Amino acid sequence: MELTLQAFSTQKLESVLEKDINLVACHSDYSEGLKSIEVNKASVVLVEHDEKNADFEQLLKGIRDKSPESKIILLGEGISDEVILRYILCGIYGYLQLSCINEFLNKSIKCVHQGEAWFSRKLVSSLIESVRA
Amino acid sequence: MPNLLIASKYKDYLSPWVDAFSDVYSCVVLENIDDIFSGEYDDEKILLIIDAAYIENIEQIGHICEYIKKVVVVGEGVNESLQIQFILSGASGYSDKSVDKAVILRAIAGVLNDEIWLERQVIPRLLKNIVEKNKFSKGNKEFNYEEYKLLSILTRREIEVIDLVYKGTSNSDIAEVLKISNRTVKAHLSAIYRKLNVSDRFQLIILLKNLHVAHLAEDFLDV
Repeated sequence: MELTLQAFSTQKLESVLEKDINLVACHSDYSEGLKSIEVNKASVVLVEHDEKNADFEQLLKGIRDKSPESKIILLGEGISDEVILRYILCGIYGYLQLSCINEFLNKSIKCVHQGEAWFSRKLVSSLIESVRA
Repeated sequence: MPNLLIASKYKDYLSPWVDAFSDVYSCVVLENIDDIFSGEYDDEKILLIIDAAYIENIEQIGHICEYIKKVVVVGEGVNESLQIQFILSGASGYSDKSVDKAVILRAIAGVLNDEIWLERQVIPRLLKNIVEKNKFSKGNKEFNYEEYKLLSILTRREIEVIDLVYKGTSNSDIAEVLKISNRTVKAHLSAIYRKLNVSDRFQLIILLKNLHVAHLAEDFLDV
């Protein structure tokens, strides 16, 4: 299955992406991105975190509604575990720190595309502990 | 005192692992499974590696975990649902027997360091499981109104603390924002956990998500 990618980001991603990842669209404007995701149905969607946007969870839900098969990876820096948990509950499959883009962007996209998750084991452990407590 | 206890139904089943671990850890192979329940191994630094063939029902995992805090189940071809059940019932990890030595040594080190060890491809399913449980809304008949009403017993200060926790604010930053001490923040959190019957910040967030309450102050305070 072809690996297509759509990004909601201000980052320059093209130079980092490997050739087998097809970047179909990149928008820094959320509403434009939401319009095109319905058409693109990219297999993986990168969404850069915007802490000033109070409706960020709505954006994640919007992506899931318009393209339920797309797997979302959140890009951000220093986001607390509590906030990541909220976004997991909104359906993200991964979280990649902006500072790790050069090192892990391709790997995280491919892992998520294959149905794996991209979160730290520590975060997953804390979450499981909470759920089963 | 050993680091690793190994329990296998068939003597040779995990013997290659015992050889692999012996360089790094002090291992004991349990001759009798009932030795687990002796109370001798109730120590955070001890990990039990148990053959999945020993597990007759899922409740047994919970029972074993009452005696040994860290348990890793090892099996062959165990399906993902069962792996998740092992973890949710108290095991700290599951590994397929066929993984190589380096991976299992990483798993053991991770579990001894309080992590949960699961194959990466199982994690989304586990997360999905959690997300599925969080689809309730106020308009949905599964919405728990009794839990929602419980929020009204919180004090104004506790509600302010909860809203900051929900935003991912650390205890020290909460103290700064509310101009109170760290100790007072912890006292408020303890009271919140007790009143809402949750044990930590993650459970608190899951509860609020279940109740679709993003900003408690808007619902319960005149803001």
